[in-house]
Amino acid sequence: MTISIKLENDTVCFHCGLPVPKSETWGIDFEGHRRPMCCPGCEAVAQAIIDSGLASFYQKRTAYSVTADSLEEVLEPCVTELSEEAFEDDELQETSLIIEGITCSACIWLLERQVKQLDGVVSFSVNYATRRARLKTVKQTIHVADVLEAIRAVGYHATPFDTSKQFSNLQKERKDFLSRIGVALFCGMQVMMITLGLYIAGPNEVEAELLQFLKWVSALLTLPVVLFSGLPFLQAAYRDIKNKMPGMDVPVALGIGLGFVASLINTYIGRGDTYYESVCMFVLFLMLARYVEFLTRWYAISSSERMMQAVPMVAKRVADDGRLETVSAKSLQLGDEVQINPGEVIPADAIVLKGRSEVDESILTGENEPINKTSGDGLLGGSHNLSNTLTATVSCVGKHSTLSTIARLIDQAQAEKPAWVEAADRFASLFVSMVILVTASTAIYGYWQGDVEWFSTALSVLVVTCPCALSLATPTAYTAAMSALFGQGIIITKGTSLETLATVDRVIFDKTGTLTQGAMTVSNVTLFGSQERQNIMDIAISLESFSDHPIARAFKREKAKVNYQAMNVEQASGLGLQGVVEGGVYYLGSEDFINQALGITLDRVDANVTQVYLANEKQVLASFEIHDDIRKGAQLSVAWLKEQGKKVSLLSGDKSVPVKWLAKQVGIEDVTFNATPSDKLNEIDRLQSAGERVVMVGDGVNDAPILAKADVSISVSGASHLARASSDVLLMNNDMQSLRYVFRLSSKVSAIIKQNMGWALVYNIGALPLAMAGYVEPWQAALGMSVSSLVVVLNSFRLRFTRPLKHHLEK
Amino acid sequence: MGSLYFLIPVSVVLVGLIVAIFLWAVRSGQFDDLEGPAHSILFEEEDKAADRELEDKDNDSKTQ
Repeated sequence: MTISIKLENDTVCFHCGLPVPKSETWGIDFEGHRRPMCCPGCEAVAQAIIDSGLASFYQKRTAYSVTADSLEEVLEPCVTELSEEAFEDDELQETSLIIEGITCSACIWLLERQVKQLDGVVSFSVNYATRRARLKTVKQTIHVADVLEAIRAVGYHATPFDTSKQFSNLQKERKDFLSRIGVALFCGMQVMMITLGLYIAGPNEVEAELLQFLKWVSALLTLPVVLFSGLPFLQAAYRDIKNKMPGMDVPVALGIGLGFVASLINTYIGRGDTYYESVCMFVLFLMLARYVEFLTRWYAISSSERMMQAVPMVAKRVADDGRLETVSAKSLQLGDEVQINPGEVIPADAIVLKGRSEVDESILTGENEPINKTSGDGLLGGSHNLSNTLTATVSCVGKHSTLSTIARLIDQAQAEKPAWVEAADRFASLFVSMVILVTASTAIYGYWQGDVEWFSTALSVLVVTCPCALSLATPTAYTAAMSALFGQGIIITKGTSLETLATVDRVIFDKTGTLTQGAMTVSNVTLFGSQERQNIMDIAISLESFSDHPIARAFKREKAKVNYQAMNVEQASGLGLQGVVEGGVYYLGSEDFINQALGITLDRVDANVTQVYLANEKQVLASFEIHDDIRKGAQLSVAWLKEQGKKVSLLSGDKSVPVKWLAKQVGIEDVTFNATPSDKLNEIDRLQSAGERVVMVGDGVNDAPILAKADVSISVSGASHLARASSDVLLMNNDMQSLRYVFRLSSKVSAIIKQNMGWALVYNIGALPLAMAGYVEPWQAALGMSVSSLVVVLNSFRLRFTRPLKHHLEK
Repeated sequence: MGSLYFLIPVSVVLVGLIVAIFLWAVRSGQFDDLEGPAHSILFEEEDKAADRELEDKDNDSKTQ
């Protein structure tokens, strides 16, 4: 109920929840109330929803909708032509859509109702978990573009997508996991039930005939567990052996395989012990751990709503007869002429033919400021066209294009794994080889000595040393930590990164999009003199155009009515500007700067906001409140990291002034600016070869290679798909403070892993001589193995109860 | 004890059935969206009520 109260607030937009500008009058009448709106876009969308008879959406929703960007965007007809239809029937056709902007389950209801109203739509179902929809339409009655248009009208974005992509592979993998776990669970339960009965009855109370029967039944039930559920382990072990690089899968597969085969033989000859229940439990536990690991990875990929942004799917090609045709971006050829409308992504590296526009290349270069492009200038594929329509010829396609180059850098960096990964791999193979060697020599020695129990002894040795607890030690700790983090909006895509995180020496931040979010804006203007607001603004803009201080960018974003030419502009570095506009001298800058220039003392209004003052020679004319774009919690996180003894650096492709300014704001001393992606890569390389373990925190496509190269990489919310794909840790919420929670938990994880490892080693090494001497029966070995594994699992589970301390986070 | 020779095979058959049903459920996409349907059931009833209203109106307009 709190939600419905919260969602009926008159100071925020009824549709999207953004603050409503005081001076504006957008809004609609709904249920007898005037509902304010923040922009004409939201107004149009809300009107469309109510007009379609779907007004009860506003009662059902539990979260605000996404802001409808602008009126033009809502009303502009959707031009996407579909070249590929996923599935063809005789009369029906099926299309898959990705839908952006779904915030709560009522959105699903709204979308389904809206689309099903259309003529020719047979069915339309939206998957809430994956934000995908399947649309079935009758051929020749309705065009898919019309459906997309209807979806746009109620404020969502829909894009058709290729079902053959990565996503459907993941979906398949998930079903595979579920099937294998289900089989192991149901069959394992049954085996366990039989075994439990036998345990309780004791060894000699069951008739030999019945015992034999029960063992055969257990064998039958274990068969699908080994051959179906355990298949991934057997396959991985086979691959490892073929590559002569035995990993942890080899003893797992050996334990499963030998345990099962030995049980079968013992059942057949009617003597000795069977280990069916151990085999089933072993497979089930390991599968579960891998499934949870997979789930976090799957969520990370499928939740990325910006998936389509880095590489555009379609391009508008100008055909020979001058008509525009929509083609897939992949099919563009060298020399093709393309048209790029404002707001669109540039489909390939190209050279401008006609038009003049501003282009945002921040995603590729880290350069925050839009760049002016006119005919003859080069455009980077993947960057964003902002203001006007451009026509350009494609200058580079395929593997030489900028995006491909970056992708190639990632591959390269991923190939050069940090040394510790290799060391861990080598350690695992060494351990595994030793286990096998010890088992084999025990068997040979026992056989040679004429021991009748040689097989049973050898099997005990294998089961005892089978590094179940050891191989569970790390994954269970990761899994528990991952699910604890997941609840806090933090996704771990690679478990090992948590362990490494505890030992890092240096944390490197990217600037644009990571420490800063979007751009600075002038949020409020207070006038002290008699001059008009627009005139004051124009003067400020004309002065600031000489500065590349980040605050100046806030002014450059404002529109000037009259373009004054400021003269004799002098900069007092980092403090302010002084110049002559229309014959008068003006000062623009910080409080200290104005105080100094005019010889007065200003009343400080609020220390928490950045203020800039404009003054002439006599008096202060206006104060501007600058809305800070530094990510929430960035300062506190940096301070906390330093407290923990980590070195903190800022590595940016941006210019020196804004980078230094930001570094001062958040408290970072070690600063590198003007760095290209390969510079950044070299820098990481240099630090790593100096023996440092490096964490990279970034967001953009240009950060992706470095993210892949760093020992641990963290991408923040709003990061590009490419950056997410090469990150180990994804922070999904906006607050940088979650970084602290990750670090805290990571040190806990490595403590838990050490405990687990210690326990497993003590158990394995302690039990080994006993088993080799023949004092341990296989059933005792199996019991010991299960108990030691259980200890490890329960110990790991403690991580789930680690909560972010409230006062820690709010401090 | 003799009954075990009958009951245990029955349980095995049952497990086989359960596994078969489970595999069918996984493959036919019953587990694809674990969140949406839980909410949509709340909306369904209103939908029907709304449909009925629409139908009523249709019927009304036809009879008039």
